[in-house]
Amino acid sequence: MDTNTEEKQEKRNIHWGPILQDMVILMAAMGVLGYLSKEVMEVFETKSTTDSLVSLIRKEDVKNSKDEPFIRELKSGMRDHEDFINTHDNTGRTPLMWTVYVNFNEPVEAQKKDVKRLFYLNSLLDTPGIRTDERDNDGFTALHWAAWSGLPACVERLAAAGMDLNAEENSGYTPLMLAAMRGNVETVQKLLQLGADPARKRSDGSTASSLAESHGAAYHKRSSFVYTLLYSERRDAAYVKVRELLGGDR
Amino acid sequence: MSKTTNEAPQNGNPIVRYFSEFGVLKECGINFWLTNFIQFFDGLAYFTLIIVFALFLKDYCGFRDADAPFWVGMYTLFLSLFVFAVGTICDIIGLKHTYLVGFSMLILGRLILGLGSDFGMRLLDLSQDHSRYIVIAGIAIMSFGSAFMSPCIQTSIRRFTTLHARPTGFNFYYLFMNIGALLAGVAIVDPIRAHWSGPEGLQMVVNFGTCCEVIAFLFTRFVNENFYAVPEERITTEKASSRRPLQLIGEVIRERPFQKLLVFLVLTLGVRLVFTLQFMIMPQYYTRTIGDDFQLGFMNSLNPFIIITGLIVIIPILKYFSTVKLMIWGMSISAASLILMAIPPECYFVFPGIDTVSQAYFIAIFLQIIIFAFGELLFSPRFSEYVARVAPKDKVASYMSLAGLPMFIAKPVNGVVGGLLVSYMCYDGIAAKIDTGHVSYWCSPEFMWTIYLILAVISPLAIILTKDSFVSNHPEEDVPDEDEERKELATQEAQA
Repeated sequence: MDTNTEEKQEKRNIHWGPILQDMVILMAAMGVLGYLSKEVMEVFETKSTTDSLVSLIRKEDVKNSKDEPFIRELKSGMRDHEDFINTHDNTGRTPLMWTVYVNFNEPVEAQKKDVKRLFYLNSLLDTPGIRTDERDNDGFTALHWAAWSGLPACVERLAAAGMDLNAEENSGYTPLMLAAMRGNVETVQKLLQLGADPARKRSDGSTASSLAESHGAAYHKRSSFVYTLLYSERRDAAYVKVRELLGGDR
Repeated sequence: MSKTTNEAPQNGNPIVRYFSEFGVLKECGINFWLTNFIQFFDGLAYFTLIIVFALFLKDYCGFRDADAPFWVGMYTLFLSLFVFAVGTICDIIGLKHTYLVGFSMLILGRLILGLGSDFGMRLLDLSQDHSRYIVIAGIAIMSFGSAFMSPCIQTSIRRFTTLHARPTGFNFYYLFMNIGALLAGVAIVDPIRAHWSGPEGLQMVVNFGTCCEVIAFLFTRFVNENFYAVPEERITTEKASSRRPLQLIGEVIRERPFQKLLVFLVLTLGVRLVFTLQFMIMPQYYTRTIGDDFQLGFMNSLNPFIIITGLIVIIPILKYFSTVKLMIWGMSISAASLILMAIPPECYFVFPGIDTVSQAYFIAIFLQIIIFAFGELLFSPRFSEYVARVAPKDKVASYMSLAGLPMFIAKPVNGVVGGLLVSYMCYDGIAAKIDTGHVSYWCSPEFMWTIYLILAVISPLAIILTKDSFVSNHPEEDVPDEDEERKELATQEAQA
């Protein structure tokens, strides 16, 4: 028998049907296990009727000045659930708060998002029944989230919708304090232009300016250490500017 | 002593010694190098995906916090399960056909994964909830396709290397794979995410991987499957590989050494689960505590960097230590690394230059990855070696392939539990709440890591307490011959 014939003979001897059959059994077993573990854990899962809407907002898939899936989800949610637009999730946040939340260290990245998020913010604010004064579990308003995130255009839009610029969350932080603490120059500028009070004090006496100073000092100090080569936030100059904007209030 | 050592230049410098060994690969033909290119591009695609997979499912496809890690877990689980079946298909339909089937499924699955969500919502007018099913179908198809790669590439390496060059061939394959993993993070994921931030960047990473798979597939078309570096191997078919998975389990489950091994595997589960967290939970943890612009790729590249360094410098030294001891050390180091993330970030403020929470998180993450990878470097190769040693001599292959069983069961459970912990203790937006002092220790990411720390610490403690039961049944092998060790390691690492 030549080599090729022997090889073909060997191949014929291998029955892979039963192997695949076992695979299906194993897969089914694992699938059932996965399904059961999900079922058992489902009671602990944090679900909200607005999850899909929030997820579409965060995807920011605006094409030709519209986002069809988002509009569809919003309409269907409004049709199916009472007060859908003001639904709080497990952290107490409403879709409006999620719309004005991003988490970037580089202010320039946040500003890119600012423009994109404005489309969603306008859509939500134009929805009948929306309440802008809702607070999450820790007393944050949408304006707090926008200020912390560094989204000046969204801050302006929320202020235009009548939100309180000096609202305090549960620890006494105002939106201006959060923007100053994060070194969000444009947001601080915008809030000051809109009339936010820079002299507000928390119970420990800290103000927007003192928060900017303490956080700025931390960033300034670390710039002399080697590991900034690995992780540079370029926040130092931003804090200097924030303090200039807030200067003289202390 | 083997031929390899007689011919390899005896240099005291481990780096020179390691690389001089690759000279032997000159005798391998074009097919060997083509296989390595296939592996490289397939590896790039795999590693880029796995770095961002959980984030992609969450941010782009709209999976919930508890669902994204679960499906990442299911993907790795299905991948490992399918390997059982396709190992044999390679022998039956030939290399080129296997590559064709594998890559077709892989590319199709990846296309569905990358574009399915948009396709469902924009073209089929499906809701996001329903379009997720398209993505899940993509994951299943992709995992089936991915499962073809590892056995097929290993068969190729074996087929295209001479007996003389084979251990080095596998060494090179393992090194090249880790170089791919290293590049995937720093050279691909980070630049792509810097250019396209947010969910769009994640989709770009996935689609980049699809392009890599297409390139890898093109390379497969030039492979000559009829070439055998050792012509006698043309008629050899491994009997073990043609066995049915359930038959395999049935054969060994009643054996005393396998039962002992099973206990050992369950005891090590705690720390091995932590290995999987790197892709299930860590990406969310990094981006939520530090920021979406966090250099995810850089951090994930630290692990392969340590592995590559270790392969060259540390592994040759480790042969002087016993297998079980090294495993205990490796497990203990990996488990202990979680302490860095379990302590409150304020503890880091005692160090000069760390004054904010995000700085503390960064240092904690950086140190944890370095220390964890070092532990993994000690543990992982010795783990495979241990499994091979406790197995009866004629059943090494069966024991090796069944060693993954406890992990199969643990992966989906770990995915669900991990996802739940993330949704409660590391939810999106937690950084703002940490900044404003609203997060107590019991609701913080640190507590989540404390839970995993406790789980991980159980493993080395349990092994230390029961150490005598797990000492190798073949004590004569505890100090193995250097070349045998290298050969064995290369093969086991390739299998791993």
